[in-house]
Amino acid sequence: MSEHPPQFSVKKLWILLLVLTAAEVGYGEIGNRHFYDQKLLLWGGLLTFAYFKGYYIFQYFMHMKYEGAIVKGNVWFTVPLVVYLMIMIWPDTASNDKLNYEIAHQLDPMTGEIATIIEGSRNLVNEEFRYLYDDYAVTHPGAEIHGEGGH
Amino acid sequence: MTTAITSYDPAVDAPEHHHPVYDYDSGPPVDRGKFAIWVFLGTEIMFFTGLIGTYIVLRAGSPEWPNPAHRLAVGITAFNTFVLICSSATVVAGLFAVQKDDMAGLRKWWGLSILLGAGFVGIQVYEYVHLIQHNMTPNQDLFWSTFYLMTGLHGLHVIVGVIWLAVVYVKALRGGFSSKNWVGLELAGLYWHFVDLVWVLLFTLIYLM
Repeated sequence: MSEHPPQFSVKKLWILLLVLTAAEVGYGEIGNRHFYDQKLLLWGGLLTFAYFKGYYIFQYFMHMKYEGAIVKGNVWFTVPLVVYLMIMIWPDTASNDKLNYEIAHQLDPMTGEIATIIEGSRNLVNEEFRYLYDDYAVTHPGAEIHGEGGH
Repeated sequence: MTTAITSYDPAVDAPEHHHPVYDYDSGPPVDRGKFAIWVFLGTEIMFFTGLIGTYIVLRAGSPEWPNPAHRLAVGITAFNTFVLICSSATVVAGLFAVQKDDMAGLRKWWGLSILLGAGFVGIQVYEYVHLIQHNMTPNQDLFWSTFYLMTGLHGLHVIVGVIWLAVVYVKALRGGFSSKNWVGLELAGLYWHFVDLVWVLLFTLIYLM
């Protein structure tokens, strides 16, 4: 290959990426300490930083910005596939109440009951399993497992 | 050279020259290597999308998920992210150097890229050793199993990338590239930037969110 692609300032882009990384880490540190429960604010901010870092790497370092339709088409065909995958997994991620299986619970192989009770998580499991928490509360009156939990 | 199919003469063309030669290229008007690497990177995008999608399902399906800041050393990994971004910048600097026939610049920047890539792997190994010494192993819980799965598979990609950069570097030392011939460098660089891009996402998802 002999043609020269358009050149850009590597130094400027390098500094921009480092500034974005530093800002992202700082935002994450502050967010995890002060507004960890405000997921939209915390995660939205972090993903915005990640998006712009990825955008600049993709467009300039990988010089997609300067490529023709064939190379671009080579990559963009993955976008509908990614969207399709997200649609397929969305029912499991949109609401814990719609989960088919309780992923994080250890079930007793003999009884099928939840062997590991996580405090405050009763309302996070399917309604049909919640009686297990209630049974657990009867047999373990000192345990505080009826907290409302929360998403 | 143009040879129409109708001019096929068995006495001349067969058996050694029985394939007609056309004056056009049946492939896409783009370098074959670049076309191939982008097809490969498309599959890699789907590979990591599957991993990240699985991580999202497992995390969203867990009643509790620990704050990563309480379990992971974000500072040292942020430094490692810094190292990887620097290596991407030096790869581009090397590519720009060879396009100007600056072979000394190519050797300098490409060699630095290899060192930075190896440094990233070294820091990740240090992190793993530290975590395992404190009994934070993949079988502890979902957080650790997904952590090791995603960072481990990415680490393998980095190792492959460092080897690729090194192979290309040896070729560069032997004078294998010039301002007229640098596509081999570009292909290795594209893979390396992709590894960097994936890490940007993984770092945010695993260490900060």
